[in-house]
Amino acid sequence: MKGKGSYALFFLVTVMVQVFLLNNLTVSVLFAPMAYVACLIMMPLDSSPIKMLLTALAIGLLMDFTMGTEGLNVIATLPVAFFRRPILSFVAGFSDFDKEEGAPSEKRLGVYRYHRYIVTMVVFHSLLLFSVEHLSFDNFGLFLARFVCSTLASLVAVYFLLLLFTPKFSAK
Amino acid sequence: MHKLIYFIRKTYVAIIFVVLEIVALRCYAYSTPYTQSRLLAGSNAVVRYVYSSLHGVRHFFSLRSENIRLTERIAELENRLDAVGEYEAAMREEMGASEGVAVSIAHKYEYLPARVMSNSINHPQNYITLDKGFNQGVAINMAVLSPEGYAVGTIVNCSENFSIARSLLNTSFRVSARLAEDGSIGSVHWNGGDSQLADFDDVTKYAKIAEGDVVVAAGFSHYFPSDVIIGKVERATLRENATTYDCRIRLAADMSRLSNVLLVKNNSAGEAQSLEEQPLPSADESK
Repeated sequence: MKGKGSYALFFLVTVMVQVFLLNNLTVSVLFAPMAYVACLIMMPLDSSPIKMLLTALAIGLLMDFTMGTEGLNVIATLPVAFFRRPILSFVAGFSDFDKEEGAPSEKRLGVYRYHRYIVTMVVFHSLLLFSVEHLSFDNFGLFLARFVCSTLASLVAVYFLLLLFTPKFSAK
Repeated sequence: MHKLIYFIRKTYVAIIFVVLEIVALRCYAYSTPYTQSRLLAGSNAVVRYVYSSLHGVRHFFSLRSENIRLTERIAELENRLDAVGEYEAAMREEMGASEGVAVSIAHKYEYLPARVMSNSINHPQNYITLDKGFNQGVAINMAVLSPEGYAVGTIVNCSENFSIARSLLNTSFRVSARLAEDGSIGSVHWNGGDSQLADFDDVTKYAKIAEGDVVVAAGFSHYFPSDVIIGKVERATLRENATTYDCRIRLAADMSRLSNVLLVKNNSAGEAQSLEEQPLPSADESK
């Protein structure tokens, strides 16, 4: 992104979309799109691990507060933030964390690796969130259906937000 | 010191991550009764698995001493068997029975070996989990003895393949006992303190008690065979009202090192119990 202002705007819009739109969707119990993970996905590549962790904590707490879930979202966002660098290394083959600045983009990571990175982050977040939410595999069919449908819905929502903000990303 | 600072600087993010994750899990666990029960059940399963694995390792390394104890026990039982054989031969001679005629000696107690899966000694209410259940012939109220034959507890719950015994180290457990020499009766219970010491109360002031006297099960409960050793008197003090002794006894069984136990089934307990439960005839009826 061009600067902190752009990221703050992205953060604000993402949170508002999640809180005022996606949290109020009552299509089905199977659809629970979690677009707020885009805030972590789009954090600048040179963000320090502690900065990632604190951002994840802030987003998780905000979501828990608005959803009334007392810790569930924090449980899911913290590992996503903590393991972002290993995911970027293994999934996107990116390792120049100290040299590269700006948000992840197709130009910085490559088209295929960039989308693989986004999908991995969303799936990882959804898997953590819905596993902890269910806490039981007694009704595995329902868990699987909710996980698959919600992950797909989250991906659609994340890509929609990225589409809106792509012009604001730096040209590199 | 420098190494410690270096280590913290290298790992502080991971430490913060783990701490935050634990705090979040704790908040979530206590948010609803459902999450509380599920997470507690999950953590209990993990703890049980770890405990079981550690116990397996400990059991392997204690096999040598276990073998020595078992050999000693076998020798003792062989001696007893010889004595029973002599007694049987004497009875046969007295009754004039020939060698082919068996002299029936009723088996009041049946013994069943079991392995200790878990055992606690540091709570007020301690229990022992055993690897035998209904399928192997275990029943509620069976007595539990150490391999040496010392009192350990009684079975309070039983599933198909496992059972739980209430340990002597349980503040709600009481057993009738008597002094082996003197015969004075009392009641043994644990007060929740030292795991090797228990109280032997309500012993009449006329009892001749000395340090080192053996305290055995009185056999009133139908479950513990009489004369099973519970412990030895360590000190005895006369109560302030001067009618009974309060004794401190050192338990015979080493409760912290139990790995194998013997379960004892009293074959006549059911009959005696049903007789006791029947209403007694009134004085007029008996005339």
